[in-house]
Amino acid sequence: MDASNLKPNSIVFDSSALITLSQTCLADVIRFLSKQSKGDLIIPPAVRHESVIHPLHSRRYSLSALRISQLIEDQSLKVIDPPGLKSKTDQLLKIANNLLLVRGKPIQLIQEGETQCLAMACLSDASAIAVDEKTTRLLLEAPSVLLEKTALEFNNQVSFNAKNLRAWNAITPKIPVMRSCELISIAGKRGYFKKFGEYEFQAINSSIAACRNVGCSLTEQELIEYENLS
Amino acid sequence: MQNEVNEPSQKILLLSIEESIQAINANNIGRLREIISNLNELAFLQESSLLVNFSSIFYSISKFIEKDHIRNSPKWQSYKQSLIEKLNKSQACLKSNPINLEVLDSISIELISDCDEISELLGRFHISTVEKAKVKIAADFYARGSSLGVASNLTGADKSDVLTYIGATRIVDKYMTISINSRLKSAEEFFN
Repeated sequence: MDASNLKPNSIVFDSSALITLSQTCLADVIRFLSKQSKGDLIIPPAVRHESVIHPLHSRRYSLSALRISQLIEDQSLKVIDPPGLKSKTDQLLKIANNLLLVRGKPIQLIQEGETQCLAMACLSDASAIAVDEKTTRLLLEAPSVLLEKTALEFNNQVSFNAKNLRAWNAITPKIPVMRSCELISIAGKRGYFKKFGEYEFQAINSSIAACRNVGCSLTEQELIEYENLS
Repeated sequence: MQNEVNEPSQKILLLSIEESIQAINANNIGRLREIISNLNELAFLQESSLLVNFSSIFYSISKFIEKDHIRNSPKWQSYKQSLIEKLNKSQACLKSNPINLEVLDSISIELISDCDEISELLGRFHISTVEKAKVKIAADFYARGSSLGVASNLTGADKSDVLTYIGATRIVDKYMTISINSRLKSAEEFFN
């Protein structure tokens, strides 16, 4: 599919969000939301590789891969490879992986799949990004929090490249980041969990907790906030 | 991912191997874990597959020592002897000038294969101890600031395994940014 045919309000998915939803048997939430969304739910080629092609060869994860593959088959998720994806990805990788220096050496923060999502968000004018792993999310929402916390991990022997941080802030899209838990909550508000009858809210909260258990970057405090919403 | 060893890494790896042999002989699991932690930091900073390999080997050995049924197995002594001999060879390799990286790398692969064999024959583990070690190292990299992709790529651990392992930890608890209400408000606007 060509990026120029994309509807406005598209969401780019990283493999971390796809994996947590699929691992918790909630891949269908993506199908449900694709029908609710005005925009497209899209992935770059590297995410397809990480979440479908690679795990298909693993006995433990091929079922999860097949669930995601079905989402692509039925067009709930669309694989997009816009022109300029590689050069944009390389540009973002170069900046992100030279933001932080530990004892003078730059550390690698993100890799190709995650960066392709960001590059695709830039190139396709996507309106949101779905990512469950914390580093990519923090690089978009609050790079300073990531830098501060990482500094603590290395006993404050960390410096950051201010020029690259400015370049990063200028080049990355200012779009909301959604995690699987937000997607579940939205799907819940739109009736996805009605099939659980009187246990509807419990199903929503249990699904959010299940996503956290398989790696969604949701804090304990946020989990409590979710539980208190209903 | 690199497998070169610069001078400071060479010294630290050499010392780590030396100390780990002492720890293995003394069945000192705590010391092995300290060595692993230091090696992980270096492996992350140097993006070194060789250091990841040695860290996985030390982790596996620490798990073998921890289990009575392995430590008390008649086969353990000969396995232990063979592991120590190969660690001695790695030391000799690191001391040579210039270091023969190909040989060092192949010894580390042999050691990993030995650990897999011990895990398979003597262990009761669902996944091999080396695989488990790589997941733990990846989680450690994630805790030190890398993304899931970087952590998985540098260690060779499966992304799903790493995510599941992270899910059982409190690694992400320190990263608070936006309130749930704000997140949901913006997500709802998006879908309306």
